[in-house]
Amino acid sequence: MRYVFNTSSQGETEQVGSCFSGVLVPGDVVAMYGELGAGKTAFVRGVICGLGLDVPVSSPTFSIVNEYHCPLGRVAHFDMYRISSEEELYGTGFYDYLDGKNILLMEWSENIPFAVDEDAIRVTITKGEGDDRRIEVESPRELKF
Amino acid sequence: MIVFSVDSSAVAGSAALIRDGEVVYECYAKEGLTHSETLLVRCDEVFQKTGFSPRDVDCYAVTCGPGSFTGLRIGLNLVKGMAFPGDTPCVAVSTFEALAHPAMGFGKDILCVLDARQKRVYCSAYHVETGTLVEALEGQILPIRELDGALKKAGIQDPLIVGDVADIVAGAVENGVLCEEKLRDVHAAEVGVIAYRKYLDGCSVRPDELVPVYLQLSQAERERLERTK
Repeated sequence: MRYVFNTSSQGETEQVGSCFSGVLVPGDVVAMYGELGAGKTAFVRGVICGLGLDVPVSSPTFSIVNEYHCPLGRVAHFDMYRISSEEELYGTGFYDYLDGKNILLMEWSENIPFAVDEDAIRVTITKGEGDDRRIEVESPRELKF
Repeated sequence: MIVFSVDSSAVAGSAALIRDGEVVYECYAKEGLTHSETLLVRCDEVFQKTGFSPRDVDCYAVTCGPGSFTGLRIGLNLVKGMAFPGDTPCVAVSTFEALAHPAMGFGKDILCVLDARQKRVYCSAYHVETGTLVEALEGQILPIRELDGALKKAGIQDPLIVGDVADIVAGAVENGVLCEEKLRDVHAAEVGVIAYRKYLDGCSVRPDELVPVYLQLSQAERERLERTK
């Protein structure tokens, strides 16, 4: 299933993230793709807000993973920018999070194609003119927005 | 001769005290990956119930892997911390060995499987010959769909399947026999009993020499070798 959203500001991208949070269930793995400044973190900010947490959200570039304890369950926000091998990924504790209960949101999934399986929901954000963005969501199951 | 053993290699976590090779007390629970919050509490319970203190311990034992990255680090570091003040000898026990050991009495080949996530398992398989485990399939990480072929190649037949994903794997292995519930998880008591014998055999190390066996590295190396062929 494929869903496309067009936004024209960071705030709108956050709104799409918030809307997207409504379809998530515990155990979901969301692989995110998009170049620097595409709005991946803004999207995640919207997701976390949509899941009921009013907290600052930033990209875990150095910590690799940030955890958010939402009413729906634990959300692990990964930044795979500095990860390039399965060995490095294992060393982040990534596989421990895949327990069917945590929700994973993974920025820079381009770097870990070996770890994104067919059950994952893929979110690709593409830059357009100015602040315009195209957000494409591909999911193996139907999502009701 | 007191052995204090700990396991946090997977979802279950436990601590146990063994005196002269006999289990005195074990505290075991399977409530999720919260070892950082619960493992010390379990150790404390074992000491309180048995009346022993860390000063009485002659040897510490811990499962060294494979298993959960976070869990292994918690277990190993906890044991290192407890053993460090007295430079107490330590024994690292393979998670596979701790799983296979209690399954030896069934007269069957043994397949150990641990969840490596994403439809993969850490696996190893053994023949049982005159009361000892003889490794037939070397410990490795494999997609579940490749397991049956690997077992046949290794000469393993109709194995008893033990480990935390034994139920998932049972359907994918020809004539595999699912073990009973209590053989699905590692128990610190078993780790302690194995460690006791290893200690007597001179297989202990200093606390700073304890290292985890992740198995992931060898997989990466194999993939690299495949690419350069």
